[in-house]
Amino acid sequence: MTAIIYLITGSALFALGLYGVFFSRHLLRKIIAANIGASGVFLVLVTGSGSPADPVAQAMVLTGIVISVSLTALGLVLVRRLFAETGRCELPRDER
Amino acid sequence: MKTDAVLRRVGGMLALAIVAGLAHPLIQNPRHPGLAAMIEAAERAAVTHPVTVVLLDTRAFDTLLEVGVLLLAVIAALILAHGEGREPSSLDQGPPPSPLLTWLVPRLAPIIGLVASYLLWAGATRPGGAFQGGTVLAAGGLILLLAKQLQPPPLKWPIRLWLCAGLLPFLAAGLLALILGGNLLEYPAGLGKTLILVIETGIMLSTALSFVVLALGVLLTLPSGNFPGDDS
Repeated sequence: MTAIIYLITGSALFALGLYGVFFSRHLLRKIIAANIGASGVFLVLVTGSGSPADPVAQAMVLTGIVISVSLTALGLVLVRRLFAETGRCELPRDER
Repeated sequence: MKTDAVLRRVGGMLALAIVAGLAHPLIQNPRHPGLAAMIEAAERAAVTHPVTVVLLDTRAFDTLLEVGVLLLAVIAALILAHGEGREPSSLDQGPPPSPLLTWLVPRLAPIIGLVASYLLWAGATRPGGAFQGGTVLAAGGLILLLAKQLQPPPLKWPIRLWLCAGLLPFLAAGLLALILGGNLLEYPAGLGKTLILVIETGIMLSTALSFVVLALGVLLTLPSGNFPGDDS
């Protein structure tokens, strides 16, 4: 039954990440939130495919980790560039 | 401001609903048997670890695209970190590294190389593989850079080719299969082990350098002179 704990934790992490991506103002927080959400997805993928985990799921998580590292780095470089250009780490608000 | 708070509450509720919606079917449903049978059938005599078989044989196309995404991210990061009219920053700023670091880090480097090579070789039969080895190598490279035992080289052709060392052999192997009459990435019989080893070595080396370059792109403003047209 430990699988259920992992599945619920993974889903909760995903929801936390989702909330953070949409409702954080600071871009660094958004990036961290996206990473947390991705960790939740990885957890669900690995534990949701049985024990021992399905090799396809393991390979997908491995691929996903590399992709999320590249995206995090790209996001950080973008934030640095934005800060260098505008002095802010937030995106401008939408006009209402 | 008022609407903001309301929006946040609604968003939080939606996120909670998503947890419930995600967790419920995962807990309820019986697990799919998965593709284990197919992978076992595809296992080659030399490459027996199922994850490696998935990564480099049955779903090699995914891995090919992954390596491509990594390369694209590196290119984009380099362009963005490029110091256009800004002071380039370098790792030389800050205090000199402690004597402990300057003694320890060069002695660690060979061990890191050994561990990375072992991980690469072990990937054929047990947990390990190109990305794990590449990560260890990248960590070693970053330690060397941060302890100032190594200078970041300019991004001239050798480095650019090194960054492509994962993608190019992979593409070449895939196209070789096409030319020999199979499908893309369907390794010719008997050549599988050799091709997988060559591809994995390339992926390890390029992943390691890509991670180092990404980290430097995050940390530094890169000097001009790294791109065509900068020199003149």
